[in-house]
Amino acid sequence: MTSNTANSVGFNTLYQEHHEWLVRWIARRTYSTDSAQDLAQDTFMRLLNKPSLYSEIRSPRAWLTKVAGNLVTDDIRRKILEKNYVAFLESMPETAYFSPEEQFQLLRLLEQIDRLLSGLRPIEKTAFLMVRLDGLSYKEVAKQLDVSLSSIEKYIAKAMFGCYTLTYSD
Amino acid sequence: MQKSKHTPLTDQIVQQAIAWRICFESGNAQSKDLDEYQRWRLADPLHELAWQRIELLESTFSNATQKSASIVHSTLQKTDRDIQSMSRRQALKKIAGTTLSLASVSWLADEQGAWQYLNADYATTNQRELFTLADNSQLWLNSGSTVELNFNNQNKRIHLTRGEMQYTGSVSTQPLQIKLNHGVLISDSKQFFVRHEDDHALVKVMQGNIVVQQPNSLRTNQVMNAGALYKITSNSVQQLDNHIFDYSSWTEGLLSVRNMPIKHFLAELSRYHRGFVKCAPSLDDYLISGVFQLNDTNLILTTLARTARAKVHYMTRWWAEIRP
Repeated sequence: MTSNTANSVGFNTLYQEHHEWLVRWIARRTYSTDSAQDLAQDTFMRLLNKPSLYSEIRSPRAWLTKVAGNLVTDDIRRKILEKNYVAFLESMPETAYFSPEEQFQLLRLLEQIDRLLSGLRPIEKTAFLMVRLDGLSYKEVAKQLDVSLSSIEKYIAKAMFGCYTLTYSD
Repeated sequence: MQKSKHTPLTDQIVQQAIAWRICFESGNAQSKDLDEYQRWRLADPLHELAWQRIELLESTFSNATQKSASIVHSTLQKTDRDIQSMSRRQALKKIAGTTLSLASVSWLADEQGAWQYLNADYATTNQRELFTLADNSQLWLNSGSTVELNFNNQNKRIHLTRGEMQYTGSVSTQPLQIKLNHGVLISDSKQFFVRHEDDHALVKVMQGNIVVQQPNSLRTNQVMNAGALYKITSNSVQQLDNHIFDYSSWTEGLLSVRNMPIKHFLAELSRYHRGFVKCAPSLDDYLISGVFQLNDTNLILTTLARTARAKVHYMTRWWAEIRP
């Protein structure tokens, strides 16, 4: 058997054995079967892109639920982000005149930024956004957050490295 | 951004590029730093590549700044706070032993919701539900609703803490009290509806009479009559037009309206629709009439749009807009 055949056999077996179970596991936690189907598919897609994993996974269900759990959390976060965005859109004068396409593009941008900054501690994220979005200098941010300038430099470096890794890994 | 096959760069090189960027951003750079930076950049094509990539990442943020920094910043911050408060509530839920999941309250998330759910005797999240109480009366709870009960030999008390309910009494002769934010209802009514909002309550009496007791009101013991709709605030009880919207038709899986502005109708629909609906301002006051089935809210949107000579645009799966 070539490694490709072995891998596709491995994937198909895993899918057949665990797909229905995973859909039910997700549905119980999200009170919804239609998003459970999507999320289960996404979980298996993750596996499809990493053929080397099949032989490494000792407990398929533990791996699947860990990945699915993260996807559920991401999904919830995206929905809350969108809910908040829509609410702010209506209340901010500068976005009141955005065309629907502009509103949509800004949402996509927001989702991208949110994903790029995941994994930062609150203060790191705050410092980074104050510099990048509010246009404050490092010194001003250090003063407002009551930390040293070198701390700010460390936070920005960590944020930028995080953005890089999320964009360019794999 | 697409994850295509990029030339891999070592962490070390990436971090060097970042360090240079920060050096110039922090405001402490000296002229010798400029010389050293240029040497670093020329020393290896991979250094140059790293620098270009870091610059490219930054363009995402300058893009956002140009469009609207404040909405991006506010949305991100509010989202973080919402997630944090939901995570805290998960911990609380484990302690209380309830089984509400994170996702089930995500559409209805707010700070106070947690305590109402923890203390509730009956609660609903995403679906409406019919409960039979100890005295055989029937309690319909709409989605996102919580009640606390206090039934003993002398008294029957229902405290509606969130959402809305319809109560249908059994043949028991005990008086029923309904506790709201802004008063207590004393009811011998066989059937009534109550909606809880932070600053007011709506009551529709279908059969029998209800008396309102309000500590803050100068008028004591106001009577609410069958067939009428009332709004109760901290210091008033007003009768409202009962014909525009049927507040209890959801118990039959229906929304029934007559000449209601579309924006109010969408506000009522939002309880049942998964996702957000926006309406073009030009259509806001368009009047809607009809009886709609709640089991397919997307179909309701399509019908609404059609009658208003507009269309439903799905910006994402969860965001619909009705506009011409």
